[in-house]
Amino acid sequence: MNRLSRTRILSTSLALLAAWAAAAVVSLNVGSVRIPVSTTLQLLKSRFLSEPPESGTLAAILFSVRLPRVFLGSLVGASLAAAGAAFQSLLRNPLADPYVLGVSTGASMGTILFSVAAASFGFAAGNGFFYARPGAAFLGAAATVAAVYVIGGGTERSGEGSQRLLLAGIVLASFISSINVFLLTSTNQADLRGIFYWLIGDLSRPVDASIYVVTAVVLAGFLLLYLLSQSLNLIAMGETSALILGVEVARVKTWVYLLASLMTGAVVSVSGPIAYIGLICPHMARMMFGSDNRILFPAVFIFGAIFTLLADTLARSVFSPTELPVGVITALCGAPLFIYLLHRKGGER
Amino acid sequence: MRYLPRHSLTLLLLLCLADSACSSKSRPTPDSSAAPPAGVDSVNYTDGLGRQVSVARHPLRIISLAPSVTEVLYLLGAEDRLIGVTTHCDWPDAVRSKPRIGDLINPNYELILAAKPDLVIASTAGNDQSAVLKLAALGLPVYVTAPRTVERIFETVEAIGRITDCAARGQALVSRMKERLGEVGRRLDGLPPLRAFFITWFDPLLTPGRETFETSVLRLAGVTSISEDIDQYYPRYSLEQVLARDPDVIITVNHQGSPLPDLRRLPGWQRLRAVRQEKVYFLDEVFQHPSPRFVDGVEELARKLHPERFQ
Repeated sequence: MNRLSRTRILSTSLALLAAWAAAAVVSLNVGSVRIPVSTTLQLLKSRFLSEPPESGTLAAILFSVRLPRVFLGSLVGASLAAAGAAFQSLLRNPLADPYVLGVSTGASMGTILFSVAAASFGFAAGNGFFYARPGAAFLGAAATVAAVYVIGGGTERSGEGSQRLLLAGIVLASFISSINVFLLTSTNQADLRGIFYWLIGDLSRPVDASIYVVTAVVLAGFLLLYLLSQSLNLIAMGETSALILGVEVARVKTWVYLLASLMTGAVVSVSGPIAYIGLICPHMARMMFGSDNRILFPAVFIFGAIFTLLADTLARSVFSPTELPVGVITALCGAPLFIYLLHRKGGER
Repeated sequence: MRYLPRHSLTLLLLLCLADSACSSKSRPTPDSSAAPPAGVDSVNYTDGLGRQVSVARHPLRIISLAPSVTEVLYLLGAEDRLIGVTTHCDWPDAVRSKPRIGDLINPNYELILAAKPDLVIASTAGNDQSAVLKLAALGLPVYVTAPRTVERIFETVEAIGRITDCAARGQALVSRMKERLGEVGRRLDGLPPLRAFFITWFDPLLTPGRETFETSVLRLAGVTSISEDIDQYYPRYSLEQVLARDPDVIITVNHQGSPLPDLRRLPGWQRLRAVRQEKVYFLDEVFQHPSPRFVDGVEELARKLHPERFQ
């Protein structure tokens, strides 16, 4: 392993952060309603400096619609990409991503169960329950993660243990998918359309207070993942040698698995499952920054934010005044890119 | 058919078999194989898709594939000849005792064939076209209605009247609808149109485009939809555009299982004039029914928007 200086990690992260800030400014300025750059700057100035701030339509669009969305897109992208990198490194499988492990289908089951319950017990009419749906999605994701962990025999075993986890995820995901189809078919279809859109992944829904919890989970999860990155590097070289070097292999693997799942579940609960971010962002970041987790984790965290932010900017502005779900853009860009990467990889062998 | 001698019944059966056997060879298109049983007095119609359908002059076993069709049949007084409805049909209450033949998207082919209908009426508003065409390919006389706009609803009601041998009642029903809509128009006379944002679905935000039933019904209640410039049926709409166009009123229907949140507490939404002035209107779901009942919805909306004109 090459020696990796702190300076390089820091400078890479700072450069990426600057790129993210630039992307955020561009994204704030692009949308279905045209706001000139000068107006944006003036509104930003008035927002933070003047008393009271301006409160026109453009200010509402900028601060109530775009700004939360820029933030949400970055958060979701960063979290999914970091979780994807962690899973790929943990399972030593380039095709692993947050969804292969059943997290998204579990979250969908939570959402569908909640909608069915809401329709049959009639509490849908109240406003208070509108935001209970993300909570249900998170519970569904968490329950699935726990089940996959138990069925896959945890991360205790060395070697084939990781493969078992991957298999358990795939099997459970298809099992839960059929439960989802069963639920959707056997109940009143009034709510179907909303759920189908949710399943594509979407950043347009209004942000509520649960975003603070999600943000805290993502940031804390990422920090802990970063602390484990060196141990994960050693495990990737071989579990026996890692053990000899003093890494508590089983414990590190369990933590990485749980942290990445938690981060995925948290963002899926607000955005729905967005395709390909967790799969391709880690690969692209690895191509640019190498596969040392100490630099890969921070790089992919910020890179995922940039990728998703730009994809969502396209999604909400290309067909103005109508919008596309961001999942359509990430899949449209992601699938060809991934096929290309796969080909390249095949050629090397 | 009791008056037919026994051997002619056998003959009839043979003829039917021969007919379907021939038709599958000589007429490969699914549309045209919908032939009536030989020997029954039948009439040729052109349906809402432009297909030619041959239907018995006085059909006795009618299956409806959509709630709007069921509603028209009840309003025409043809319900005693209705032998099958969808699981979505819920008006009038009496319809609950009718046999169910599947839902809007998935008709149960076996149940429908076993019921031996002499007329199946479908709708482009709700039914899956390939499922409908499959029923036609199975040899059933399937008439497809296309009630996309208000004008097409009038045509649809008259057409259903014609094909079920209640033409006069169909025309009467349409003139009654036009009378009631004319009355609403008279009461709203001279008022400038209100600019409305109609919420078809909140999460994600869906709204009716130009060529939709909702957009044309809104106009009847003196309302212009701010999204009527869009050339899609139900596009996802950008909240930015709603803010920029700042509509006079927001209109939505009460959906079971999909509540509208309190807009006054939502960032962005709370800045809208319609929300600040509490001009958010919830309509009965009948507003979106492409059947004569939508007139109830128009009256309800006009009454809510301009109560002073309805005293």
